[in-house]
Amino acid sequence: MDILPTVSAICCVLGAIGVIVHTNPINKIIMFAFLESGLIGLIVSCYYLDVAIVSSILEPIGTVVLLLGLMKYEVVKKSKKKYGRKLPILTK
Amino acid sequence: MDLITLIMYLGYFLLVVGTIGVVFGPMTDDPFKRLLNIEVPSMGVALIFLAYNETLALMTFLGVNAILILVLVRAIVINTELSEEQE
Repeated sequence: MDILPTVSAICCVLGAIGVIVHTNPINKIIMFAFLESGLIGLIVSCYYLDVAIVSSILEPIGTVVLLLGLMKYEVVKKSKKKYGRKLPILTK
Repeated sequence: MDLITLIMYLGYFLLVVGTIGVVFGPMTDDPFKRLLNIEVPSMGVALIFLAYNETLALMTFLGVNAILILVLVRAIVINTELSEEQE
């Protein structure tokens, strides 16, 4: 067997287990990028190069959206924990 | 083992492990971490599409998946903001 499908399959398995097991969201996003790199390797080993172009363009967009959403989610959750119980008393 | 058989077994493995991880996995009370677990069975479905030579379905699924991440992240952030106002 060739070396590219073997390495890509190992990347997919390790990335899937890593996404499930880790609890920090930054580590989960890093493991998700690892999993997607394995997917691109398997697509290339099947000689579907057009699908590889589409996957290579759309995968970093998803990672960037997840990182920006994670930052905004952390900010919203922190502000909720800090001001959530005190501000409705002022508004009422 | 053949390449197609390897990809098909890998896709089913990702689908089963990802589904169990989404339902019973660690720290799934946080909706953002549950969203990150959802991406694993999504990649499993993409590998099954690859194993059955469904090229157009694979391309469409990857495109829709990138848009779906955007919509779900926005929905989780808005849901957290709205639940802040209700309490």
